[in-house]
Amino acid sequence: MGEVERATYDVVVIGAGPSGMASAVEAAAGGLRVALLDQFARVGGSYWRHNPEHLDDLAAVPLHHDWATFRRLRTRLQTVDVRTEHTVWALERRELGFRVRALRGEVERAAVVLDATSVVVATGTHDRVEPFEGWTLPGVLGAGGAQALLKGSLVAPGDRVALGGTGPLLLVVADGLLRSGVDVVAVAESGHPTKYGLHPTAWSGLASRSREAAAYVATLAQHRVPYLAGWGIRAAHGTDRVDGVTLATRRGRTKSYDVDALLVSHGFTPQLELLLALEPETRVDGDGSVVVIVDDQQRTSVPGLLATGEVTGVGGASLAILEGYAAGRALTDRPVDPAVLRRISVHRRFARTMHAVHVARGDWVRDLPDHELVCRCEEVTAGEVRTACRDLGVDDVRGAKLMTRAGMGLCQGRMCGRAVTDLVAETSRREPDVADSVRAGARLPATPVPLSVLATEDLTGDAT
Amino acid sequence: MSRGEARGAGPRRGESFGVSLDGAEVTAYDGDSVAAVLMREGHVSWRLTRHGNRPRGLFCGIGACQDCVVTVDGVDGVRACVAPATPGAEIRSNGGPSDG
Amino acid sequence: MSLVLWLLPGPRSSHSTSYICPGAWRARTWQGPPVASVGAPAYDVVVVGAGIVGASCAHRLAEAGLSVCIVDRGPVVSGTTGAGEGNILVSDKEPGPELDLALLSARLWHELAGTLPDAVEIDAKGGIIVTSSEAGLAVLVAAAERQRGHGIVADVVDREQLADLEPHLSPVVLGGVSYPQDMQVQPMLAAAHLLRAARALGADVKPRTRMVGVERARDGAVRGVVTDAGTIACRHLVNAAGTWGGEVASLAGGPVPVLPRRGFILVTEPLPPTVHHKVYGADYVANVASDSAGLETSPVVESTRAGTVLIGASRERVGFDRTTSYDVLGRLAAQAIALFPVLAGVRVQRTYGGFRPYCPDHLPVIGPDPRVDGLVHACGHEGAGIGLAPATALLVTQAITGEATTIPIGAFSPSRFGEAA
Repeated sequence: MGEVERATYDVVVIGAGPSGMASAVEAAAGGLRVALLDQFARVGGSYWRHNPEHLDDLAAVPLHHDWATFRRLRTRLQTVDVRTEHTVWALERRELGFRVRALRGEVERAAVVLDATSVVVATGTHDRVEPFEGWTLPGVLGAGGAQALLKGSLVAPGDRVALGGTGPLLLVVADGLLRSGVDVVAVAESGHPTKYGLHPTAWSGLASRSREAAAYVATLAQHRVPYLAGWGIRAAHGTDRVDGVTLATRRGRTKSYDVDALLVSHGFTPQLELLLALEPETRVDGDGSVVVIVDDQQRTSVPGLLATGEVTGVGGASLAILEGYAAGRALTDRPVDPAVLRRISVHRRFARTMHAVHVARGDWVRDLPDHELVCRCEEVTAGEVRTACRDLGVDDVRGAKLMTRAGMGLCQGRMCGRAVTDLVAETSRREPDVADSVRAGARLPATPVPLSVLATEDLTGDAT
Repeated sequence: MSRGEARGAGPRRGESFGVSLDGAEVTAYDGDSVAAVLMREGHVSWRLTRHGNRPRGLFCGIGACQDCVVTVDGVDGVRACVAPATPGAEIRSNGGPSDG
Repeated sequence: MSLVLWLLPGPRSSHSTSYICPGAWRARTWQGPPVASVGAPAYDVVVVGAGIVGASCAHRLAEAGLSVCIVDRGPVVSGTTGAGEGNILVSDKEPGPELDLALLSARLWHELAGTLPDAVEIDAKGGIIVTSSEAGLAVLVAAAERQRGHGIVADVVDREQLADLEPHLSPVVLGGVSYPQDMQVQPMLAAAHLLRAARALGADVKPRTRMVGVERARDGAVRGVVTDAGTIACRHLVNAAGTWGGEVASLAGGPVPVLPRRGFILVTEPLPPTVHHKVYGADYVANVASDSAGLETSPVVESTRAGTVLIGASRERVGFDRTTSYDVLGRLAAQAIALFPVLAGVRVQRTYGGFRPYCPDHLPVIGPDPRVDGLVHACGHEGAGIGLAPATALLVTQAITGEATTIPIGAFSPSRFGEAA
């Protein structure tokens, strides 16, 4: 058994994206001993994924957003114990505080055990991708993941790219690709952004945000990239990699493009597995995601456990930063500036509108052929899940998992969980149960952990 | 410039160093993930699935899906999107339990 | 445990007069008025619990021509069946009633293998008990000697033979006993396919239907199961509620002492074939038979057809507490590595816990309850429910139809707990 590294803090913040950085900085400013953990090699999260060369490179600025805020926060991390390349696999509530178990190094996988009085979970989201024919072909990527690759390593996912799904991220990513000289052939937005007009108050107080959105649309127009509202992805084509995509409207109009990459985001899935293990109160947000309930100081229903950013409801980086600040203040018993609370409510109102406008179409369930995979890890097809519902009485996501292995693989249902839920609901004609989704979302370990690391628990636990 | 590379007089890249990819020496840059090295070299997939022998590469790109796993320095199941490329690292595609 | 009868009449049926259905199992032809709401069918049998035991009972009863309804408070296979490894073992049983039950059940599983689809993964992989001490080996050899006289194939194997059977076993293992009759099945699929077969024979399956009481005639006989979705008229109630069998028994007026005994399992990432049999440490048998409430762990390591390796086994009596015990997970990992050092770098991708239905004397409760006419128990199988399900179903069916049972069931009778149960 290898050595176990142990340490104790007042606060452990899990996730070094915008909200995690802000929480850590604010808590440390209040005099607490803080550790900030992230599985990637650098702080910033997906939003501020960057190359180390970019910190003082003016040419890199257009690639990033709120870059000055990032630089400022990063500088203020000096009094925080920043632990990058730490992947947390379990969060445990103990008599006094919490125990955070992590693997250090994606290759080394060394055991790290951190104890803390309070924990802030700021684990963010990943792209939600609804299955479609051909969605497992190489070259079909999450739009946010592709953007992270571009910002972190200046590598584009392809030379000729289409984007599809729903939400402002599609525009942001298209903009970044165009600036990097990539040919963007189309952006298919399944929602109808003109519906923002139905919510005129949503933009009030967010002038910079509306300017930003207008600039993205202008960039697309300037490059003559069609922005197709009301269009979804029908199929990706290719044998060993994607070489084409067919887009379709609900009424069945289609357009096809030759591409070497297809970037997809049907909104986001908040990464709640560490939180759910501690059973805080949850709710279903406007975009259908299970999120954790917090008060105006980001406290969950579990004493000492705080949550910030997208795990409390998808709302973007500006909101996440404010929430991080509020959590840091709460941890140090300092009042939150009322102006910040007002800004938070403005951003939350906008998020509600965004969820109402950018609706994933949900018709993939009908369109997905029986032979297509829903579970990428265990290679379970839609037909197998449908058969389990029809013949074996499966009517929930756990049953589908036990009967078909959908969600039993290495990602533990992160990618297919919501899709299987929808597929089972459609086939068994039973409304999905939130409690089922919550149970399915509590995963232990949160990332695969070597038996040798697990074995150290036996020898090093409390001597009780 | 190889395909997959962002074009234009853009931002700077970090210091370059060598890594081994399936036994061949290739160039990586400070700040690269292993996935970035693979994609810059033109790979869009680098493993086959256990049951269907389906090619897989980068999918979620942020450490959640486990699709992009690769063998690094003899260790299987390394997420290429998470692991930073380090000087002299030995990257082996099609590795991991999915190999056989 | 209380003897109070939980007679909770359904809201619409409290006015109905007693009606005793004559001729128990011939009740299929019964044309009398339904006890509950108009139009609701009456059944010969309501089975409570849609796990492997309930599914087996429903299937066997329907095969015997009885009308059957199976209810479960959750989705199908949502209890202990969904948290098991799918053991069909003879190796861990000493000569006696449970071994007789296990041998009968193994034979029935072989028959089922011919009728259920291949997907249920019935695998005659064989089990091996191993030890690293001379004293331990002597105990194993003596146990094997006793078992051999009762129809068990038990081959003593030395270190060299073990290396052939399991090349990755640690060199500290001295020897063991090989049990080729031990089998494994994918328990969730087996239960689901048994339910499907029962449905094809006319059985009704009602998931998410919670039993809240029974309705009894003036003479005390069962005449309906009261659920949160109404009363289901029936002549017999089969208590196949597994770990929750004590609760159902109390609701039915025939309490039995079934308690939860918690266990955790680790599931590794998929591997190339590494472990070929069910391999377990000699302590396992002692722990299964132990009465201790405290934590006991012993290594049990085996592969599944999906390529994952399952690692158990822990036993704790902590009620229905689902909190993860990292200490237990750590012990399981350490013991598995001690047996198979090659697993050290292998990663665990999933862990889960479940509750075995435990009876103080480690025997299941099978058969009619003398206190309540029409109540038949089929629960309390501890960790052996998958293996013992087909035999349990056969005995329950025989008891209900009035046939002679294939093996004596006195040892499993609920009356063994006495009135104080």
